Amino acid sequence: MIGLVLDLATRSRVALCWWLLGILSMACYVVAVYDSIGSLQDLRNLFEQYPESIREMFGEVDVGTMDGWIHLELLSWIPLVLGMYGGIFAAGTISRESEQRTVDFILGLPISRTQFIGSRLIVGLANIGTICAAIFLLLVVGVLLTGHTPSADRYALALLNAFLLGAALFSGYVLIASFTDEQSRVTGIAIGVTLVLYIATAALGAAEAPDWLKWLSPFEHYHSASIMSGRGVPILPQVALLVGTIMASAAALYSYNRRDIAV
Amino acid sequence: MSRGIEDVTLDVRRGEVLGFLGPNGAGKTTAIRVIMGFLRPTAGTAEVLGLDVGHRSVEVRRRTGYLPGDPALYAGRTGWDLLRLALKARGLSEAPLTERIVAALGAPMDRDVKKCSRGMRQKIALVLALAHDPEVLVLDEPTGGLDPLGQRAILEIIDERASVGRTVLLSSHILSEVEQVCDRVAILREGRLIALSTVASLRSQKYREVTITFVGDPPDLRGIGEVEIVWQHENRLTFRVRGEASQLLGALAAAEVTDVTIAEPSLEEVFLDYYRGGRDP
Repeated sequence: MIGLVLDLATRSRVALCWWLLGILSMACYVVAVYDSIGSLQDLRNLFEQYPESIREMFGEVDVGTMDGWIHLELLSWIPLVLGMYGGIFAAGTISRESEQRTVDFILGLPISRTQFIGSRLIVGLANIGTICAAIFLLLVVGVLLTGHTPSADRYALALLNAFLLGAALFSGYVLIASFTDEQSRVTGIAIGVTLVLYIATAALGAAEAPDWLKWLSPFEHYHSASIMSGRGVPILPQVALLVGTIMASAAALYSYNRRDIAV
Repeated sequence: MSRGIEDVTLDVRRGEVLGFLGPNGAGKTTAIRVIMGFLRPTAGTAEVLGLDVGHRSVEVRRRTGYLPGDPALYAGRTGWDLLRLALKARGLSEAPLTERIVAALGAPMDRDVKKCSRGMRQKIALVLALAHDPEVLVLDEPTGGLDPLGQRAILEIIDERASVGRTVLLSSHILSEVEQVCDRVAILREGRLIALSTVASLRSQKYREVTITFVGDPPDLRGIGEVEIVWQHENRLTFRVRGEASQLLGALAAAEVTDVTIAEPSLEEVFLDYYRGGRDP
């Protein structure tokens, strides 16, 4: 199992580096431009004039503060990127193995299907965690370098929340990949579902939909705006994300163990 | 949904090479995938080394060397990388036959799999299947994509592994290689096992073509068993005979013979007979 995890981690590191490059570049930009535009009163006014559905998407924050600015320009959409990364990773390491028939080589070895899917889950979660940790470090260092005081505890909480949401989405996509042999199909489903859920969460919030309906979307359990505004983080949604991750992972293991692997 | 094979019952004995014969789509690969635990049978069981492949699949694969048909390997990795991964998965630090098999096949273990031809990939995959000296070898089209030298090398290796007690299940549609290395042959047609026997026995079930030159006129062989006269010219007679030959020999005993030629059918003729004639077991 350890060998399988290390092998997959090695194979996925180049792609992870490219993802990190893109995300961290954006984070650098966000921190660097704050002093020039983040504190502009016009920006606050502009944000307040946004339709409620758009503001709902970003959350209620004061965009004139560094924390509010970081939330608006970075943390509000990071789970979207994590969801897409998770979907692409699941498609590339599970469905692709079947599509390209390399699964015959790997499962021709004494490796159980549980170990196979388990290794994908471990490396995928580790990579999502790495992205979150790298953003945290960049924010702390970047904010310090710009002469401000970093709110390390808020960044950590928000990124932990983002990680839990990314993990829940990722394990859902692993479940889809566990019974779908086409990489492009799983990638398309993952990106589409992530975008739809992200937008639908904002729309449901603006439309004052019933709570039970809003709770069905994983993005409803992301509270970066609340965390970055110092209003704290509700625990129950975090537990819901964790339980969702565990249930989807267990379902993926069950599904993959039950299926036929055809050529 | 059709599962590809139906009512297939066979066993492979320790130290035996069993040839799995049939055209494309006959169910050879499906049967192998059941044995390797990739497919779950809707009915029946499969055991390898006494282990149920449904419940003890990992243990089965630990003691088995598996070559998939047209093997796909991870691009961007060399044969050595893949061998290290395979050994780690098997809990081994080294594979005893690596050097010999790499040398015999000329496998390009240093080359990135992405840059390998079909035949080169096949050689690397054969090294991965054979190097750890498994008790059982399950080989799906082992000579696929190989040049004649590579084909000969792998058949020699299979023969040699069987001679030291390893059990080999070899799927192929190339009759000459089956004939060369297999002790017994299982013929599949449309997912069903239609013959399971030694190559010699299969041949004996088919006609042999006999040409005899007599001193004087040939005897009258009509009505004797399964004898079919093919050609007669003066004192030279060619006929086909199937099955038991004692009645025929009795009829020939009285005749004075100057020359006899008996041509055995090739496995290809036997195979075609099964397929053309639609003969069932």
